[in-house]
Amino acid sequence: MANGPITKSLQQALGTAPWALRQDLLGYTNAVASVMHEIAHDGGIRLTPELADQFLAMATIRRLWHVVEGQYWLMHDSLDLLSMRSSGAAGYRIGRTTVSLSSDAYGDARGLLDDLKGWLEARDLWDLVGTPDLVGLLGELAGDHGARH
Amino acid sequence: MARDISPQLASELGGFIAAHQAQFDQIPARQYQLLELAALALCSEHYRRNGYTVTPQNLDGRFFKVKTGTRGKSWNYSWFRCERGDTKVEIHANLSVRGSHDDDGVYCVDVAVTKVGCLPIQPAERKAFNAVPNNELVTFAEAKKLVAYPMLLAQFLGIVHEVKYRFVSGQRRPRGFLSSSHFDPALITIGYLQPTTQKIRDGFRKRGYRVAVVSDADFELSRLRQDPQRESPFVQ
Repeated sequence: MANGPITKSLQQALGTAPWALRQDLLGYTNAVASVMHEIAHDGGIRLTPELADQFLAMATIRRLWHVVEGQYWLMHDSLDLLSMRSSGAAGYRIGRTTVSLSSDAYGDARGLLDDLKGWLEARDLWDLVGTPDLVGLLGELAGDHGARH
Repeated sequence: MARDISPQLASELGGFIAAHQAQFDQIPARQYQLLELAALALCSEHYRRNGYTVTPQNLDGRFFKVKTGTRGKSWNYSWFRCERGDTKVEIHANLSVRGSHDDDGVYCVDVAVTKVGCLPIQPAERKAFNAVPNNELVTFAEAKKLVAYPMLLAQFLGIVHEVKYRFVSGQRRPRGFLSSSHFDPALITIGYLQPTTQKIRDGFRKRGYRVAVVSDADFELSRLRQDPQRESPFVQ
């Protein structure tokens, strides 16, 4: 199902991503493709091949955002909860990784989050990534295509 | 700039990923570590929200050292001590515990809530130690970086069957379990709960299985941080 020109190009572009991340993203794209018609039905949207292609590409980019966002917020929230205990602990050591507000891991995660957000905003994609669910995402794209029933 | 979702956009994303290769390379390994951290944070937060004083123990300098696998001695890592009146428990990451059945089974659970002082102190005791006795384990949680699909729930039930059989045997919970605000053995996932999985979970309840399933753990952690009054996700 994931074989439109944008999705194909995206699959190629993800060749630069680490293997596990690529598998996660492509697995997600295929899972979304398998339920795409039900999503369109739920949203009352007529699915054209062009819309389907854009939808799958944006669903994948939205997933990438969630992965990057999740990494940062997991660190942030875990640190916040630790500090709420006034414990005197400055952070966590997990394997060779230190997670504290001043650690490289935290700084890298924050930096990547900010850069990706900037990249999305520059391309006017931020509102698409922020849609609460896939029906909402397809609805936004369908608005551009005038494809609502 | 007008929205342009085209093959060109995909190729620009490839450029972005290439430009941030080092940060992206870290993500897969870190996701697993962070899941374990999230599970530990959720469990300790459960006790804090139920009136316990939660303090980290055995810090490594100013850092809470998280045990992330089966290797290593638990006493070389940090844990949380939770105290409310006379009730005291500890929360350990990746702790080896004896199974419920009389078969010498030893299992490493992702997050273990135990009675206090479950780890040996004396060198001779430490040398002989290989697992915490089952009656010292109060409850536990398993963390998975997966969508909560039916087979994952079935696998989790199998773990509960071996590690804390009482909770899937139809028996009542141990005396004082609820009044001490402990949580039932829990599966924590980063993924969402599939619709079919939701029905299976509801079925567990009807069959008298005392287990909790916490999906979207990353969102749950975020909600807890934002709302100090929010109830623990283990209360279902």
